[in-house]
Amino acid sequence: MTCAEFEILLCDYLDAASGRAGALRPEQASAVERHMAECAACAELARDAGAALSFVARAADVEPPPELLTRILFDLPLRQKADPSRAALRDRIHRFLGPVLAPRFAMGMALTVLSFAMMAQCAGVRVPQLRPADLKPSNVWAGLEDRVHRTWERTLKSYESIRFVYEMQSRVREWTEQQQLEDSQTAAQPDERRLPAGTTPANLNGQEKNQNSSQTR
Amino acid sequence: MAGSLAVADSFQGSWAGAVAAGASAWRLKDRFVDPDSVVIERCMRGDESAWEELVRTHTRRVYGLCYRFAGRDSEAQDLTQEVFLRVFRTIGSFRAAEGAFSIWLARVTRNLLIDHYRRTRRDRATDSIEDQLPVLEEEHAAQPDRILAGRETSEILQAALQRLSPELREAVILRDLQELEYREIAQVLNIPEGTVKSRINRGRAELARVLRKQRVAI
Repeated sequence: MTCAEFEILLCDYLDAASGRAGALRPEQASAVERHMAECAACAELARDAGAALSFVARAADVEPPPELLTRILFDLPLRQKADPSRAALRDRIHRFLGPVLAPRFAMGMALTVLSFAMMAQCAGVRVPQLRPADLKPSNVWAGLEDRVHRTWERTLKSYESIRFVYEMQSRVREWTEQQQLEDSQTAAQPDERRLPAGTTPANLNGQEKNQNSSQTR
Repeated sequence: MAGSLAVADSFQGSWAGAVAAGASAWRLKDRFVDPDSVVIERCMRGDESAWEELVRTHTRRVYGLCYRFAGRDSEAQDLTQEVFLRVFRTIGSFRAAEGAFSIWLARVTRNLLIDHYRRTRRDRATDSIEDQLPVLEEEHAAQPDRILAGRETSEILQAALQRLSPELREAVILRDLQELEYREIAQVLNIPEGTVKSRINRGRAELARVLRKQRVAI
């Protein structure tokens, strides 16, 4: 037996010597013992190995600290694996909302909502008074049509009012101009009601009184 | 010959007890039925309670391997946690037809320990084992003939194991502390069975020399 062969068989020899089930046949055990008697180095190896084996067997088992188990279980991502349907749902929501939550898209959406809110405010829509029934497409369309109709009527009325005002203004202007024209023509003709020469204001008062008394009679 | 048999007799009693205690979940009695197969199937289906059961069953073994190899409790805890996280992520790559789950788990643990060893090699060069446990060595040097209690023996063993090269250390731990079969160790380390036995013998002999150097009675 060579030293290399001895080294391989030594493990089984020590197992057999310590009562462990081994695959060492009796003739192999004899060969090992013969080699130990002949080779001092291998005998020393066997002695040291046996002593170390004996020492290790006396050593107590190491026990993990109780909190280690809790720590391991806490750190394992078990909850994600435990419910695959919930994990799949979460993934689907993330996939759906992922682009929406991108900063550029979110900002665009916010501006769009703000624009619509301003338009609604201008159009007179009161958001707090909205009911679910108001959001039906037919109701929305009817409301929109009504609002357009009203706006159109109001615009026509305004136009008519403005036209009436303009007509009145132009009529008044015409009357004024016509009046001024008549006045100027009247001023150009001799006045038949001019007083005769030599009439004083005192005589005029006496004559006027006489005329008044005669008319009264 | 008589000397070697006397050595063998000295550890026979304690060894038998250790073997009886250690033949639980880690080592397979039946080579064709994996005791973890049902739990593994449930784990693969995403059963949370199965994961809890799996962790509860194997934490002690994984922690023991990490603690004996790394040498420190805090490191061993972190490594154990990392092992189970890796198992959680790679459980899909486990093939029941290729071997027992316990062997696969030991391989995962061993690979992670070797990665850790390579990563922290530079730190250990500046912080040697002699600097870590001077008190323990002095205490036992003063009482060389004292029969050490199991816990003290464990602590001395822990310090001595760190003096071994990683190849010899892992072989000794897997055989003498984790109690794996030679065939299983060969699967874990991915080396021939003969090489496994050679490393175990050299590791044990080196351990004995280290202990003797520390004047510990073995």
